Amino acid sequence: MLCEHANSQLIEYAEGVLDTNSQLEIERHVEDCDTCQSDYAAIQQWRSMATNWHQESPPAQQHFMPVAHSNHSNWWGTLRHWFPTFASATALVLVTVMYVQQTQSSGVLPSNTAINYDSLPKLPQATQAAVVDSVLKTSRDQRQAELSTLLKILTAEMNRRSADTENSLRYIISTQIQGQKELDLLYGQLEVLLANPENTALLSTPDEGVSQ
Amino acid sequence: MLATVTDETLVSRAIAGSDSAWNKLIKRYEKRVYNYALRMVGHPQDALDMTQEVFMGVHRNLAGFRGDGAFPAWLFRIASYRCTDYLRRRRNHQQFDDERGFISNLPGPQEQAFTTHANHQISTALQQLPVEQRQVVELKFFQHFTFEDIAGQLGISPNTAKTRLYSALRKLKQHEELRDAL
Ligand SMILES: [Zn+2]
Repeated sequence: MLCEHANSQLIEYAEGVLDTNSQLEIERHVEDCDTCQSDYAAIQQWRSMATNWHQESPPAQQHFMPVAHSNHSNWWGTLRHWFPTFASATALVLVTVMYVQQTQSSGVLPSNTAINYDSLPKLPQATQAAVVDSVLKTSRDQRQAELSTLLKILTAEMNRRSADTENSLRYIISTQIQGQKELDLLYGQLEVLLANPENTALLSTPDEGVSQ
Repeated sequence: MLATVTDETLVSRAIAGSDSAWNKLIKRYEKRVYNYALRMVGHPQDALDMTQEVFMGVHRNLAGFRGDGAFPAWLFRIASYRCTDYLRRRRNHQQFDDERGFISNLPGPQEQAFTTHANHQISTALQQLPVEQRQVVELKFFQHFTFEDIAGQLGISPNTAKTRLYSALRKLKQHEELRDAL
């Protein structure tokens, strides 16, 4: 058997998945070929290392505090904290407006800026409503571009959240997915709202909108 | 003997909205994915982050699982994608050295982060490989996928997968630390 044929089948040979004839032919070739001998030894070394790997467990959980109340790095909990009585979709719109205002000169939202939600001002409801009104008056296309960028920022924040919490892996995953569901729901609501600015009755809080 | 619910059944229940089916699916694979992530990134906290991203990706794409292949092969397609993405993002935080190329500002895998000396050595050895080679070594030797599966998972041809594996083998052949891991 030619070296190139034998060499390219060394893994299958090591796994013992070839037919008996090929197994024998390769065995004979390997005996006389330094390259194949050396490659075969390396393959066996990795196979035995894989066997020697001792299954690790995810890092021990320090505490089981629910993520939503653990700390300020949780943007979703923080958003809710700011706007306890107002529809959360409005909060999203409001945050969008603030970013638009902050970055008026460039016209685009920052994509890599670390967001400090704590620095955003708390506004009275009347002001919030006024801001929302003004958002609804800007062009639909622009709003959608802004919202989609905001959504990316929020999603990135959401993905980063775990670095600061060391809670149960499974708990974090399911919580994040719940957050994703909420975000999807809100985004859907926002789209409807943007299409029909007068129809504010469609707004609901995530708690009402997502069955628990 | 208790009959085990198949992955496919759990997936379709999870798609239909069953949280308990989804939790069972995570529980079934979280250790395997976490250990995969640990070998790929070398640090427990990074591995935890990556595991989480993998399951996020799995959940988002669950409806795309057609059931025409095995669930693990499909899961590791997502895992490979998330892993490449994760390591690319991490590399963006590394410094570029004119002579040595990208150098990590993270320390190598810490001995105390692993339960056994062998695990530490294996992880250290894997970190010597470029990501593309490390992935093939992982998927072949630790996950036991076929080259066809690996090709699908990495979006390359089976031949390319094999070539990468051989490059990795030759690169690590003389690696001192490997001897201790045996
Ligand atoms: Zn040969």
